[in-house]
Amino acid sequence: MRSTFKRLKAVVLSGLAATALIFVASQMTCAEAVQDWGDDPARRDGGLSDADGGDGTWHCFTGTPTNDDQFLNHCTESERVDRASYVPIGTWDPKNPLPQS
Amino acid sequence: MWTSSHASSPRPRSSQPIVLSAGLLGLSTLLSISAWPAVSAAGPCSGVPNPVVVSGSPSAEALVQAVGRVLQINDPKPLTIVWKLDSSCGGVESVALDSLPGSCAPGACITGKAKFWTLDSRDTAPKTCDLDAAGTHVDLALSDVFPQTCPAFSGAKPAGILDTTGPITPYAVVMAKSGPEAAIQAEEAHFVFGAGKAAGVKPWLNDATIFLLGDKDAGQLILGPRVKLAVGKWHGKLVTSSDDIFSGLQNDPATAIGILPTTIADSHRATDARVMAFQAIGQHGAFYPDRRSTTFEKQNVRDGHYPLWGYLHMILRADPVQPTMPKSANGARVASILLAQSQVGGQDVLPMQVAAGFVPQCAMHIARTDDVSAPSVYAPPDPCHCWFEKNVPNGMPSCAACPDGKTCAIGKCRRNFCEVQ
Repeated sequence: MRSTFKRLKAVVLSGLAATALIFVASQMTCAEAVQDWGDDPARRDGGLSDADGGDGTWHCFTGTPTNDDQFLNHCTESERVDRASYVPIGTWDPKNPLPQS
Repeated sequence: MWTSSHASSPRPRSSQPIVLSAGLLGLSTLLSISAWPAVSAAGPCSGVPNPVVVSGSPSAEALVQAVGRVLQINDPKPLTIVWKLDSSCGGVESVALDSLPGSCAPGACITGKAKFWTLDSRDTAPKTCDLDAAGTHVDLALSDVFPQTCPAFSGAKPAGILDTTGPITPYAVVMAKSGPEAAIQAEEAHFVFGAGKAAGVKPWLNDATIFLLGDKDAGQLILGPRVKLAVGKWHGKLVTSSDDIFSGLQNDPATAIGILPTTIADSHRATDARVMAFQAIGQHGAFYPDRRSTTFEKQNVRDGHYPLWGYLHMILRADPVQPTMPKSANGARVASILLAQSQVGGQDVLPMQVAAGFVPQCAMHIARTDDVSAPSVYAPPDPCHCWFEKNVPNGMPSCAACPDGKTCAIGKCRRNFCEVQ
């Protein structure tokens, strides 16, 4: 009875360890996918905006850019102007893509 | 906190000294041109000595003038540049549609009045001449967009031309210096320039002060893809020149807005115009063409943070017999000078490009193959990043100098600065 309990405990612990390993591995994969996107510490503004994900930090690209998004958001020491859109919600809902005219 | 400085402290663009020392070489030509009538009484353009007809973008006028004067006064083979101001695509069409030998095909050639600069250095303003009423063939067209970007060619490069890319012309959305906004988002620009007052985007609520230079203007053709606004869908007041835009900005500084090349707008930053920061679709924040609102080094153009720019294209008609060769030798010679591939009057033209507000390709970190696609990383074969920064107001040359022209602890000495490569 006692040995059966020990075996069951070992199986449960092994399962938990495997689950933990899978979880950690999955997080490492996500980290790899975004490894070139970092926070620019020189760019903390203490405020909130849609652009910064709400944590007051500009998330800029640190790798070698290969597409528009990466060139436009590459980390830089240049002055950045952060402003809210003045397009009325009745004219365009920013949740929708910009209409091609 | 991210802020934008409304009150910039611009300095006037430094003028590269272009030494103009008239010699005996062009004396006879000087006498003939000095006697040319003033604006009010023009003569035929075909009557000026050794004319070469150049037409195209307003962005290039200052460079054409600088080169044109040296080409007449100091060059051993003087030419008179006859300059017809046009839109970028108007210039392209004048050459690309010029497919008939002798006569002018529809849409080809130019008419009206043109400018030329005299040999007399006291003549600061150009004189005018009359182009042929039946049309004057254009030797060289200057465009800030690729030929295939022009509406007349529907995305296909026209046949029978030679297109060479030159220095970079940045473009900017502009307001009055005292205007209320420092930046504009692509989404805002889409509705302001596409719907005007009806879109309700503050403060741009006056259709009469949203200034446009037309569908052939490079400013609209460069901004259009970035704000998803097609040719023919623009809404605003059509004007004919950058002067119209500047006067419009002063008449209603609270709402007036336009699009101009920074080769023109920068010289107005100290007095009456504001170059606005632009936030592209998907970009986190708006950026000026320059590192700061007060500088002129076009850092964000050069590294890809600011997408509103085009190459200054040299458009030549190809020789019908030898299609890889230009039809006009004089046009090709002026193109080579404007590209800084040839000297003029013994002078290097790269400083003239910079003085006229252009960014030489040797100062770029990115390149493009058309006006729409994403850029790619670019390493110029003869980099001039440090030299360029040294030659613009408020530039920040980060390299050591090598005044002997060769000695660098790190990097390679180019134009008396130790460039990385």
